[in-house]
Amino acid sequence: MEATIEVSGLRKRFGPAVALDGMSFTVLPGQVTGFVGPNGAGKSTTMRVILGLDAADAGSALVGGRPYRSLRHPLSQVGALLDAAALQPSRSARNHLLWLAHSQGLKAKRVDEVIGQAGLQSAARRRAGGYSLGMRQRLGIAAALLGDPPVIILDEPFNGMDPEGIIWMRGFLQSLAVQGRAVLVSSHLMSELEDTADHLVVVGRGQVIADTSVADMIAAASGGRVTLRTIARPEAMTALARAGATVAATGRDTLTIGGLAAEEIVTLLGESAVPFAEVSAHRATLEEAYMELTRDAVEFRAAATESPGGLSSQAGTQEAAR
Amino acid sequence: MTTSTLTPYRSDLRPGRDGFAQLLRAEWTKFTTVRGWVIGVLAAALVTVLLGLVSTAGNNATCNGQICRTTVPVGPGGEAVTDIFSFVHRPLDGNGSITVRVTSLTGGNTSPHPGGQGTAGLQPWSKAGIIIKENTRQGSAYAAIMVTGSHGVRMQYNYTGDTAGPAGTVSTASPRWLRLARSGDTITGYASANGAAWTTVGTARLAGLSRAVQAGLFATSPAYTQVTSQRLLSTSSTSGGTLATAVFDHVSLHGSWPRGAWRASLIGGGPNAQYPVQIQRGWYHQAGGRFTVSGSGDIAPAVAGAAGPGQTIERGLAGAWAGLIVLAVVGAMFITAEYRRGLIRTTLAASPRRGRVLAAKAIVIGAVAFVAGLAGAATAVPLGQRLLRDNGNIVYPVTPLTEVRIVVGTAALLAVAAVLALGLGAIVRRSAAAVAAIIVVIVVPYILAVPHVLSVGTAQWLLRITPAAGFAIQQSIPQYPQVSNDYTPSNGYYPLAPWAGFAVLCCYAAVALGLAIVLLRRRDA
Amino acid sequence: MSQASYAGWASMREALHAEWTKLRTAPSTIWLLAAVIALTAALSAAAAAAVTCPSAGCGQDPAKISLTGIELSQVIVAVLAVLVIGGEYSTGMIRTTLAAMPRRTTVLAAKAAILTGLVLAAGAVAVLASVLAGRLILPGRGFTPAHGFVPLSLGDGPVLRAAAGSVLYLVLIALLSLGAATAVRESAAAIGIVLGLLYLFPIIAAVVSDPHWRRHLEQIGPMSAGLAIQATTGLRSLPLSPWAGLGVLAAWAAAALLAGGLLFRLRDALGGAGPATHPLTPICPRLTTKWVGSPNESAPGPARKPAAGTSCGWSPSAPGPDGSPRTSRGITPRAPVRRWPSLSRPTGRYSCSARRWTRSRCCTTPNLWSTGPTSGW
Repeated sequence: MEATIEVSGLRKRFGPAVALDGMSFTVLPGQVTGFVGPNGAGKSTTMRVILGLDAADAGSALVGGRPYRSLRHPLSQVGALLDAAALQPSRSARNHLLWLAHSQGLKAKRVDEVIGQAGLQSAARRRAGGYSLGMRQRLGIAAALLGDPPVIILDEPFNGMDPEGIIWMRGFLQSLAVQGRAVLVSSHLMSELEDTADHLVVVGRGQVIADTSVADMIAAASGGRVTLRTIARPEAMTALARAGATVAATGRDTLTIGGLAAEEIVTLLGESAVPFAEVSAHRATLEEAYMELTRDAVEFRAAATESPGGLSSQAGTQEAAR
Repeated sequence: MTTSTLTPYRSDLRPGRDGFAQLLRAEWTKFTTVRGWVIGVLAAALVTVLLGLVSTAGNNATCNGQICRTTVPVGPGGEAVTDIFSFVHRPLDGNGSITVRVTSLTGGNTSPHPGGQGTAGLQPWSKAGIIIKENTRQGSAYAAIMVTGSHGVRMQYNYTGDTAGPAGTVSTASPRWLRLARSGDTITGYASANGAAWTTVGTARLAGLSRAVQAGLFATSPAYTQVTSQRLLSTSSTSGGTLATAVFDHVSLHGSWPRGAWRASLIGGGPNAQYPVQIQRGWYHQAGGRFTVSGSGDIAPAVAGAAGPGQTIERGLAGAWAGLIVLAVVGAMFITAEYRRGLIRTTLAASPRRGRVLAAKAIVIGAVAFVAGLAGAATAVPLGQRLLRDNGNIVYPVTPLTEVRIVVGTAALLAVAAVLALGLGAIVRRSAAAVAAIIVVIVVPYILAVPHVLSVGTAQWLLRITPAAGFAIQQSIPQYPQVSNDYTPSNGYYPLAPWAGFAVLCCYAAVALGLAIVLLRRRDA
Repeated sequence: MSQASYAGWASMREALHAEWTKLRTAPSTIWLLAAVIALTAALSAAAAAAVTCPSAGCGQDPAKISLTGIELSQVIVAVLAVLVIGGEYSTGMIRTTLAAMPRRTTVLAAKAAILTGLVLAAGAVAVLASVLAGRLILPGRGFTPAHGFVPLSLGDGPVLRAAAGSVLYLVLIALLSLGAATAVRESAAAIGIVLGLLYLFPIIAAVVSDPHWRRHLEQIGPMSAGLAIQATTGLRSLPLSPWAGLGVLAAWAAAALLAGGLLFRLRDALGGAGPATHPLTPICPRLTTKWVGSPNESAPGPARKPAAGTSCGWSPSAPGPDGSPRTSRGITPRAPVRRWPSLSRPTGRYSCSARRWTRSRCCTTPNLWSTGPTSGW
């Protein structure tokens, strides 16, 4: 079957709260699709609707062109990790995977294979209640891979992983995509998604805000600005402002300039004899792009903090969830 | 990182078979891999046996300070019977009839023998009349027509048969005429108020009745029981023997009666009597054509409870309650543990057909509970019987089919209760509430069904409509209307027939499971 | 009041306040208490309406009949008590509770105290309603003065004893369930054990025919002994006197609370189950060390007396290379996660060794996430 996830027009309310408000996107095979959004945007609800666990009030979610509940061997089509802590503490990891395998008609041999793939050989026969966070995540990954599915859905897989585990996960996800699977990953770690994901679906307030590739998004947020490093900041600012550029001071010796190309800036500074150390095209981080995009969609915003050396966010009161 | 779509991924893994069998296997694996649940089931079987043995060990019967070694006679139908009465008889060889007029039936102790105790008056089932009996051995076949204390004229045969005749008490002003006519294997009973107009009361067919039988007059009166105190589940009572005295005259015989005289025998009684203290010595006096016969005892099936001397075989299953509670806890936890940990989402993602998931769980827990219950009951019943007999108790015999029904029925009862717990747990999704609900609906009606708490009618009605009715499957001795007794669940009597009571419990379990499946399908995970 | 006992009393007051807040803000508590009241009154009224006294000397006990509802509402009281502690274990909240209030005996005592208060209040209302129902219904069912019965009134000594004893009965059932749930840590198993304990003794006693065995079983069973308090007639035929029966139930409750309390103190908070705690949570909540004293002191001393039975000491770290005492600013932290405070404080180790039954591996495990030596700030 085709390895795609198609979500169109999902709507769902929990009592008075609207969780999904017309969510529509498609996850294609061969790439890692990041699923990002503020808390309460509807990411986990969307994933549960895709897996047939929650019923949407309107709209449809199809996996390979079919609704989840109609699949014969669901775990052979879609592997999902929703909540790593969803384990019976008194059962061992191997037994947990064993009953999952039995429910799909798979053999115990397959269980041992995925345990090896996830790196849990030494801990497989211990009771799951004693596992650390990272081990539980690995167990969840193993469960998702049990049926060797072409579609993988992971909800916050980087949670609780140590740096070594994050590196492993990054390579692992990319290898899955290279094999031609469709991978949907939701995360809050922008820096991680920047390196891992190829495509991004940004959601907020139950709707899709952006559905682009990572490169396009960063390029759009970068906005053609230029970063300048110089010790003679005031002189540079005067010179550039006179030329009609918008200048912002973003550090002790850095300026971000908009409205002029890098070559023009070099020429201008040379004419004004302003010394400078570096001129480079400003590349926004995914975090900046994301914050810009979702500023209006955030439901829970803490009071302003002064972060050292960074942009100070607007002072705002606590915005209660609608 | 690639951005172009490749050929979609094709797995080399051969998918296994899809079907209910795989689901069952998964649920079985889930159950056996949690040590606590397996230990719980084993503990249920163990506690069933242990508590059953503890309760049977507390039953001792002593006769004059020693362990009793009495045997209870068995009637033609195989049931344990009480066969104690005063018999004034002659042999009858072939067909014939005997007619008498009864002019009085009184209770009390008017015996000239010393040492008789005061009695409580005429009992409702005090009996006096005429009887044709195969021989004077206890438990032999018979047919009798009699007047009773407060149930009018009755024809009774082979201990369990009972037909009603004209009602009313007998006195000198309104005597009763009774006639028994035997032809071959058939004995017909007639009654009349004046000796001229006879009504047929009933007909009895005693298969294989020998040609020579004993026939004559009899009188007997069952023990009285008086409740002294009623506590939570048990009633304490005192009982004592009573004596009934009847006056017969106008005795006429027709048919092939050999020449001879009337003989008086005390059937039952003696040093090895069933209840050594609850009968009094009967006697008879003949003056011309007038017979005064006095007797104590009963001609009826032997029952468990205050009115009978023996125990039923299901006494050994008193521990089934504890086993039921433990299995209900395991059954409820089997489903609520998944909700508590969020594991239910994994289960439903692996098997989206939710009805099948719950059905598979029900089958697994039901089968496990059945096996545990079977092991427990199959050990407790024979061991309990042995213990009871070793302590001198009389254990009423039952057919092997009944014994199998009791053992298998108890196992089935535990299985269905576990499934009911599973259904309740899936509906409320909280383990404490489900377990409390199960225990309340099954145990509390049993406990409340004692006369002092609720009236008899209310108690019986509770035992018919609540899941506690399922325990009727354990009943081994049926209720006999012709024996007055304390027919409460603590003595092993339930208002519904065994399989009917079990069906009530099954209905509850089916409704709970059905509702659980509907809710599971409709709810979000 | 000495400082130690004042500290103990203060923490008990805080624990009581915390437990009261927990219970009054949980909707299930309100529902269960309302159910206790409603069911007791309803079942008592039903029992009173179902019984008749046709003639004098019918041998019934009107007070006991009108208090029949207790036999059902005790189940709800047991469920409430089990959920008070079992619910914390099932959600994992017990770790938060014990991190906030490390003295476990105090926690259990506070839970028992608040539970007692709530059950007393609800039980009193329930019993009053039941007695009122009996007073109104029974005279119409044949319990008239002509048959030798006066209308139920609490001014009557035995009736007052039956009513007050029934309220105490409910409280003792609640404490018994609390102790069992603390020992077992699982709500379902605890409910099964408590209800099994209550109902099995009468069932076994009914099956046993030997009067001695039966009497002993009824004397030691918690429900059959405890309900003796409700009897106002036929006292001589009871297995034991009313107050003795309640005493037997009190003994059961005390044993359960003792067992539960001991296991509570000695075991880990959740037996290794549940998600890992935040790395900065102290590993040994019982031995939380706190920085005490002002930074101006050369050698800080504890402002709070250590718990009885522990010996605490301050051992400063070795002086720096120039001989001056080491201060916090000069030491490279193992995990540079936050800024150092502006005051410089002497560094060292402040540790307490606890009583003999503390497992030694608990506090000697190095805490890799500490922001300095294993001392408080």
